Amino acid sequence: MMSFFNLPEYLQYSVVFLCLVTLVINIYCVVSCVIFEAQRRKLNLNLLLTAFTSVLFYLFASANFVYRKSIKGHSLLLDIFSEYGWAFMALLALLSVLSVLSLYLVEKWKREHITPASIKEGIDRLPAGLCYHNEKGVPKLINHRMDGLCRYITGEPLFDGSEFWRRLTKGEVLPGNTVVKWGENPIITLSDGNTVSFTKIEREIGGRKMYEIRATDITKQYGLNLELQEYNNELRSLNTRLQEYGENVYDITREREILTAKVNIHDMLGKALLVTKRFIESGDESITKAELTDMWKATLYLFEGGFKESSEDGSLDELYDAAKLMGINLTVKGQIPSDNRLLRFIMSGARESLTNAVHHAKATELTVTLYYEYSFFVIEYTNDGRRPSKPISEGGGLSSLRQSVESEGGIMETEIFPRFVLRLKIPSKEVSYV
Amino acid sequence: MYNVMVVEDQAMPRQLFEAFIAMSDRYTLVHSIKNADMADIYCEKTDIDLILMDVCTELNSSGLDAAERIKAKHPEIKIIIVTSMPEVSYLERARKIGVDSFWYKEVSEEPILELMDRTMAGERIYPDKTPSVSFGYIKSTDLSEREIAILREVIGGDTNAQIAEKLNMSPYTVRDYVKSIMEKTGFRTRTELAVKAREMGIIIPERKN
Repeated sequence: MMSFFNLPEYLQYSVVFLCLVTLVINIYCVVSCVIFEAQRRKLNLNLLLTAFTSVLFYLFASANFVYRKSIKGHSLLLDIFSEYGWAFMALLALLSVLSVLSLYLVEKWKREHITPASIKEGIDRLPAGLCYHNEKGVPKLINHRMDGLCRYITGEPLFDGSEFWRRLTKGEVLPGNTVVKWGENPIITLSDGNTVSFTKIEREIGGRKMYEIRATDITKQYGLNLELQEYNNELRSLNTRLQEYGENVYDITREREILTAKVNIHDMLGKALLVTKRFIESGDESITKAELTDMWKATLYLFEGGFKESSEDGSLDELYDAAKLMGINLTVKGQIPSDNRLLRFIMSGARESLTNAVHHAKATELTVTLYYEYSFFVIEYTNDGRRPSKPISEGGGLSSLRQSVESEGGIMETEIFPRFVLRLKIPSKEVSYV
Repeated sequence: MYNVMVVEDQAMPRQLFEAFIAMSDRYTLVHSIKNADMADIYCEKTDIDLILMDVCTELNSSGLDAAERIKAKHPEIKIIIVTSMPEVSYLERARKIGVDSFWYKEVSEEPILELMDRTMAGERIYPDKTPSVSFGYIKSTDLSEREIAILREVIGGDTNAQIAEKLNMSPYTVRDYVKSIMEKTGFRTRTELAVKAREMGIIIPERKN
């Protein structure tokens, strides 16, 4: 029979080393099974293998040690190894094969199953930051990105999820970082120029309430948003300028109309001169004296009074004339604004008031009072006629007036006691007076 | 003799109308005013047979609004709208209101007195179409109804999204339309497009009151 001690020394050490390696493999498999919650059968098998290998390693190591040091009192161990050394080596070989096989199965299982470690590894690779914490703020899972963000923003590792969230929502960040938005969905521009948006969601995991804090890099979107805002501001200013321009377009058109009228007058004058010349020189009978007279009458009419362009208060003159025509004595109290927008409202309201004063109130006096109250320009119409016996039912004129006043952000009021009042309150950007 | 009222805010064209009336022995000028808002008041107490009404009058008061009010109260009064604006909606609105005749100051070939005579004889005289004016590389009449509608909102200073909401379209469709109009006309910017459309009178935004 082959004795263990008859083997060359290096082989003896090799056997002990093989035993140690097998033991390490077994321990690794046991730890893997515990950490990754592998099947119980695999854990039991590996525990058994570990136990056997441990005993074997102890025996081999002890026998070798005793044999080398010639320690007395261990003759039985040496005898057993001398007699049955081959059997122990065969057992070791078997255990080694089984251990390698077990290692293969454990690694294969790890590769084929999602384990907590693989989840951690997965979320660590996410470009977004992620943190799960319980109601007390104790973090249960944090990825590298979120931990890095917490250090960047607060200067500390993420130890308390609730505290981290509080600081985010209150905008308590280290200098260098900029709080773009605080509150429910904080957005922070980090000192490295990246912009991160944070959200917090309550979740129920395994029957327990958990909180998920998520950080998303929105640097690109934020940059685009800033560009868009800038573009929108430009557009708004452009639109305002366009609207202001619209106010002047009538003047431009009128200039064109005046030019056309000038051309017509020039033509009329030229025609009258030509026809007169022909009439005098050749005695053209196709033209009567009456026609010639009419022609000159019309031409001269244009020059009689000259061309008086409308004055700023021209419309008010017409308002006085219209009132007089209706048999109403019109009185305007207060300063007349020069703003055409306000003048338009004065005229529109006056038209309705004149009609109502004549047809319903049988009035002879209409008073228009103009004054400035806070940010409103107020136009008040009252008459001396009969006051309505019941609340005013707004017909076409008044309802269309109300619509135009309200579309400008103004208020239209009517009162029937102690006398009838129509009041228009027009928001005044900046009131200037004639 | 027919009693005529002229509603025209500019002295020169107004006096030209007055001169034509003075030349005729069939018409008498009873009122000549500048603000269309007052026109219906004048009609209350004066016997008026015919009104020559400008569209854009003093304080931007609308002659078409005034015509609508007058026609509602005094359908017997004949109204001739006189304008130099090639704004497409004016013709359509005048017809809807029941205005008797429509005369373009700059391009109508028929003399105004002749138009007045025919109108008083009961005819309704409208031009076939709005005058065509140059609008960049194209003529104003080359624009489709949809393009005009979008251009009208562009002039109002609205953004594509606002226009899309008003016209019940997608903002992308509005963007494509605006781009197409700019390409056709050759205007390089939205502002230039809006300014030219207004200057040429192709579109006149309605006043708010």
